[in-house]
Amino acid sequence: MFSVKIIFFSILREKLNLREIFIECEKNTTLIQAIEILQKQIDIADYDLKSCMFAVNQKYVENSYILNENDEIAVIPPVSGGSNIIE
Amino acid sequence: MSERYIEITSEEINFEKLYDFCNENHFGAVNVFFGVTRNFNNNKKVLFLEYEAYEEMSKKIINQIIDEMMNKWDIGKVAISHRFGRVNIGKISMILVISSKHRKNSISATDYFIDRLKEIVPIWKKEFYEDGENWLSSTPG
Repeated sequence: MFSVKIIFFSILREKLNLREIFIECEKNTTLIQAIEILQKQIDIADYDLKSCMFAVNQKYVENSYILNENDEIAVIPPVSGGSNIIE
Repeated sequence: MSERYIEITSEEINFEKLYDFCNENHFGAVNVFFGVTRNFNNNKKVLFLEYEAYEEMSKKIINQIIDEMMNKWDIGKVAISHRFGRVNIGKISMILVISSKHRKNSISATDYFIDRLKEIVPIWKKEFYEDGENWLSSTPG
């Protein structure tokens, strides 16, 4: 077993009142399995995760990504950088 | 990577620094985009905005977008600065400067960059109103 850090931003960080959490993973745990472990640990709805992208160590990855010790998962809600111009 | 300058900052953006970085004698065009915060959105009066950035990842993704641009267009240098934290109405939230030998390349690349920024760069903004606040999701943004 090893632990992996998960970090939250913006709307999700505020909703959960949480910046980061550690979860325990077994060898060959995939990203999507890690998210399932997270959902057992804290109250976070599928609905809130559906629109999110996931990054590991600051790179966007697929759900099938296999985690390693010391990986950092970022849950990325829909982004909205730039000014608030109407397109 | 001397052809690019990337900054995520809580300070007011220094335009001249970005312009000077990009402006070289062999480039005939320096295209500049200012993103400025508006006072109305979704029929609501906006008092101010707050930006949150996953700073290190944002820089990496911006680097990736610049790579994409350089593969698509013959452009010279790129300088981008994006604010985080509170930004008041009418203030500059981002500046993008791109130089090129011919204007069309830097103009097209500017449009492309902003589209990609709004898709994948982990920066978020929240609008504050007289009666509440709201995280904006993706475009229009």
